Amino acid sequence: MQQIEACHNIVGIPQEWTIDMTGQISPTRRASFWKTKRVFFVTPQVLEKDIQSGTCLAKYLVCLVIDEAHRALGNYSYCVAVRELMAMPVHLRVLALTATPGSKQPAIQKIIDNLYISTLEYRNESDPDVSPYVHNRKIELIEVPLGQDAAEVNNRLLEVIRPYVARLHAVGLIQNRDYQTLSPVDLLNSRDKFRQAPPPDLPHVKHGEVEASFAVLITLYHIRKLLSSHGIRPAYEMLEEKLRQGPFSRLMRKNEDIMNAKLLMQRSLSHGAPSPKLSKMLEVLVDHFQTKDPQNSRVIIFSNFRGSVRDIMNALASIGDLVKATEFIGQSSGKALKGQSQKVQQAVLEKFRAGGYNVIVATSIGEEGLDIMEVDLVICFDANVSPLRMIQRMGRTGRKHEGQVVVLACQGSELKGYMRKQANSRSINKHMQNGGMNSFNFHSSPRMVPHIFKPEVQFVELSIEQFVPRGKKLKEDHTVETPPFREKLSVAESDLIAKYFHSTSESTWRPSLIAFPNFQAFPSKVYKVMHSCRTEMLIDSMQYLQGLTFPGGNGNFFVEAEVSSGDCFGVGIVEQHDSSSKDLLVLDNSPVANAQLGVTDSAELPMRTIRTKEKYDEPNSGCKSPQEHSYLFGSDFVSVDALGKVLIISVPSLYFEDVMHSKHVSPSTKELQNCLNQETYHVKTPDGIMQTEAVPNVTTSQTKSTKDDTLPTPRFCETDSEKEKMLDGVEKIPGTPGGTCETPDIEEIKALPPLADEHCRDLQDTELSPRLTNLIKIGVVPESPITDSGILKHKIRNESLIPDLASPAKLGTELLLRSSSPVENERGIMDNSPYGRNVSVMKDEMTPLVKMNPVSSTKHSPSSPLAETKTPLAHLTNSSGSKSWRLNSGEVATVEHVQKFKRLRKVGNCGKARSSKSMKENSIVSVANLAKSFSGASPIRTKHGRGKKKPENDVRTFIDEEAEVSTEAEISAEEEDDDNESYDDSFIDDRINPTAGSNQTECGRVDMMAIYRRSLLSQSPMVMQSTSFSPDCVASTSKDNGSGCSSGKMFNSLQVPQLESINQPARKYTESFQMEERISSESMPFGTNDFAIENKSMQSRKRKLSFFQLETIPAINLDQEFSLESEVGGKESSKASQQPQVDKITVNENEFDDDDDQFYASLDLDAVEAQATLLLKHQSEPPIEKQEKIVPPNLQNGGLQGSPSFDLGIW
Amino acid sequence: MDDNNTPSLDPDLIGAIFKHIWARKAHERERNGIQSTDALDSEVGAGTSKKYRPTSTNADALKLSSELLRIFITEAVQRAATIAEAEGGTEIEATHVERILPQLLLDF
Repeated sequence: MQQIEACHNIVGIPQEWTIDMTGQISPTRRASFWKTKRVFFVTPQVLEKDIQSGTCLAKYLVCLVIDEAHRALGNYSYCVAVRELMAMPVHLRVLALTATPGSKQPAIQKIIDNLYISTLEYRNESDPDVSPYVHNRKIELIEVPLGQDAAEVNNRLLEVIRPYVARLHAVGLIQNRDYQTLSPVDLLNSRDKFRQAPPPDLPHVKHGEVEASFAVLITLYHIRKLLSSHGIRPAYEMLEEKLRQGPFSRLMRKNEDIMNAKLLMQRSLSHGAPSPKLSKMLEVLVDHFQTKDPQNSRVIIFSNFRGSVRDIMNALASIGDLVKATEFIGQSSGKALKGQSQKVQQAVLEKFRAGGYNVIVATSIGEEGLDIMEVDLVICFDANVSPLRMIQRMGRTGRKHEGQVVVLACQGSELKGYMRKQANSRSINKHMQNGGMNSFNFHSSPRMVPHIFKPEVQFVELSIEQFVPRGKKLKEDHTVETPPFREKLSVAESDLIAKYFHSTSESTWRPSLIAFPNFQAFPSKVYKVMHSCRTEMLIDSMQYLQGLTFPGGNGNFFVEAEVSSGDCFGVGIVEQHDSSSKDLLVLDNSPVANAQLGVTDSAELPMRTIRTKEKYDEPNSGCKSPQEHSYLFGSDFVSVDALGKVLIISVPSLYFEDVMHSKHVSPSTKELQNCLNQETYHVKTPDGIMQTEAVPNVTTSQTKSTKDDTLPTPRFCETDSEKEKMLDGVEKIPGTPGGTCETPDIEEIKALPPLADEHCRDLQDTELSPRLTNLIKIGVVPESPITDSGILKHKIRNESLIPDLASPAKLGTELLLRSSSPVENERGIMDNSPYGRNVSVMKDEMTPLVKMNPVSSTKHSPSSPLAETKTPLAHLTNSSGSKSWRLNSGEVATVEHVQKFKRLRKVGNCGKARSSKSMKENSIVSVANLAKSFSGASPIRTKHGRGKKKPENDVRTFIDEEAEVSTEAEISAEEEDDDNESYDDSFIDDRINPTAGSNQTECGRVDMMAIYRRSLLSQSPMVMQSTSFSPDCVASTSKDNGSGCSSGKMFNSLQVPQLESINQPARKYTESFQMEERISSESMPFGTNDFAIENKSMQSRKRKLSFFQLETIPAINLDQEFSLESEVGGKESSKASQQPQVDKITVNENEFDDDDDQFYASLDLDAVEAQATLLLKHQSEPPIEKQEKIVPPNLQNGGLQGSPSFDLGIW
Repeated sequence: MDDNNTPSLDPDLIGAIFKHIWARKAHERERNGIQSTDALDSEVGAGTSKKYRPTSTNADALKLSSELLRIFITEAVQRAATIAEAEGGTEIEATHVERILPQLLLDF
């Protein structure tokens, strides 16, 4: 409050001693304030209430200062409070201040009595101790003539008034004959007199009449006053209201003069002619604002009547921007105008202070009490107010600098009234002279200071602190108060807070959302709240904006997703299963194609390697011992690793071929059955055939490879393959538009091969390759098309392409050769030992794929060749191990690519598992060989394994050994493990089937066990490798990425072939069957079996691959199943060498069917198989569902074929 | 999820913060409102009284808000901590928060 500030600034009352209290503060808080503060600024009402309630410690009060003391009349709070205080035995001083003690001596005396005033000090402006603080205040009285219309209305009203006044005068109630000078107050006084003492001579009946006359007269005079001082409108409204109801309307309704006056007023109002006072006021205002800055100058216009405030506002609105006016009225709401709440009043004053308004039109509310800022001009719109109020009005200006007061007075009664009141106030001033000792009676008050103290005057320098504004209004300006917790904080803490939360300082730290755009391209690690789709969108868009393809991280995911979607491999596992099952079916076909592809590849290799192979074969055959083979292979691999990539690769391929031959021989020898010779012969023959066929294939492949070397050509091949795929109906290739064009080429290629089974294989291979390419394209689109093309052409091609990209075309060709060589090896294996061969082929195919990946990573190429060598070494078991190793190596090489590599690894694992399976099968063929091969494989693995792999290899070897030693119980344990691994019971069933087969022959059992264990081990090691490789992946370069892509492509290719096979199952099946038939016709029953096994294995591999790609557990199951199948097939073939190939085929089919059923999508496959095998397949299907069922189909098959049903019976 | 044992923010504190923010916002609005409206004061009065009305919160909503804030804070701290750890630092700094902030804001 301004008083507190004034006290502080003038006499230095400390702020903490002071408190201002109003009724808005709760009594309890007031009570506490009363106890803690020393100087209180309270409203009289609060003081009264608190004294009465006792919360005010009244006896400690020493001094009571009363402002606006002229209000101490009647029962006002001042009087009550002072009376209460005086009633108590309290010594205190009362200091009462007022600018307008009263207009009459009696009123002043009353105040003195009420407040127990003992001395009166009177100062006016001219007193020496006041004049320094008073600025010149120019008071100007402007006489305004009554307007013409108003004068006329006034006359009419006087006409109305005259008879009533005359009547009352006749009765003697009104002394003044001049009715023009009468005022409502006079009439009121007369009426009071009449009511208190009615004239005795007046009959009682007349009293009512007199009363009515008074009422009418009062109203009329009031209207007339309004008319003169405020204009026609307020008078008209008053009259209108009075005529509407009440006694006045009853008397006046028929009065012609009043109606005339009303009409006159109406007319003048409709004219809109402003009243002379209003126009004069505007004149004054405009003059004022011309001399003073409208921005800084403030004006208050006082009007006693609210109705005229609106008139003034309307008039001010007409003078434009110069005046920004607002009204300032009381709270009470009348009929015409709504009152202003206190808040609105505060807001108005606030804005007036801030300059939002420069004119306030106020009623008497603005005269005193409120903290209205100093103004330059005060206009009193009506002059006939009490001198008290006039003084208060004038107090609004001239405080700090000169001010001006303009009083607008209407000629006539208003002017006279103003003059009379001025004279009145002057007479009061006379009373005040000399302390009013002559006029007033004062109350004695004892001296409070003990007499022993003699107060002396001292000059004291007051050092007054800066006043800190507080209170409600000030709080608004400083909404942010210092929170109490600040005091508890250390300096460092508050500095920290200021750093981040100081709203005003410019150095405020604000977190930036764009500071690290690179970080937004990757998903940040989360704690518990997963990323939202919006975040993923952000990441995607950031990657897109930054032009980044992240092969290792997100990119891989996307590629995977794309691949999965494109390949119809649903992201969901279930969907994947379905698709995978279909894929598997397709794969069955595709495996053949892969095998064919491999053959074609091999054909290429043969060109170089055949001779070497033959040489190697000779030594291998001579050795015959699997161990030696394994060692040789291992050494070969090692050498390959150490040696140059290409050379090494070629060498291993040769070895592989040799190994394959030797393997074939060895299994056959081991079997000791009739099959041995036959197998060997068959193997040899098929090998030769293959080789012969391979030559043309090689030529084609070479051409393809050359094409691959040249980007366009590989693309063509790819496109061809894609076209084939399209034809197949897979059409997942949407990514590769060129596929259509390429398709014709593929067809051509197909046409070429048709001549021979190998040709068919080549075609299939080509088909597969395109599919692969397509897949690769889809998945690895970001990667170079060349790689895709290479993949499309052949796995070898893919490899070559990848190397080409990384390394010169020669490398690519070499890679192709390498790939071809492994393929050849596979073929040879296939030809030689259907079981092992098939498996090996499958493995080989897998390995080439893996190799492709490694090839893509130029450095990895050696590993791939090693893998190839391994495959040959494995003849059977070794080959599988080598394959797995190869895969591992390839994986290792590719490991650099994290996710992709993982996938590849998984594939490789699958391949390994398969290889292991094949190894097992091989081992089944030759138990001794198996053990040796395992051991051999293990060292190789260890070698290749590079530390991490080594343990795994060891584990595998251990497992293999265990498998060898394995008993039925072990098998069961393995089965359990398998079950654990395999989610589906169907997988278990498959296992059971193989186990059953193993039961037939211990070797078979062992093989199965070994296979299972191997598969398990291989899977686990794969994971291990992948993990171990991951660090390498981190360091992976673009090449690595490419290899990863290639691997992904490889996977894709595998999947694609499946799809193709689905689409063209009939073709493939027919082809495969034809192949088998041909092989069989070639007197290669085993070969046929092998083919079937191969097909199965291929399917299984494909399935595995798909599963691995999906990274779902089922894949493992598939692998296991595959291994089982291969084992079974191998066993069957080995044992049932005597048995017709058909039996084996049927077994294979059964297995396939089982797998299909397990894989869900068996329907297509079944149908294909049914078409191919017709009755056999149909028979086999039911058994497929369950292991037990498988047996019957076998029996049936046996019965059909008429071949010995030993195997079936055993099963 | 041992959310029951995890310390949560005091709903009263959150409520006080909310009220503080709301009051400040309302005051700013009101201040802007007065300057922008040259209309009749009665209207201004009505507007101000409305804007002065303090926003209140239901107890359950306050509890929920507290939990949400807690999760947000812990998530932010954890994510920033992983960044800080990746950089080998032991102190989460403003830059660490900036790195995870965009995605964090989108996640909530």
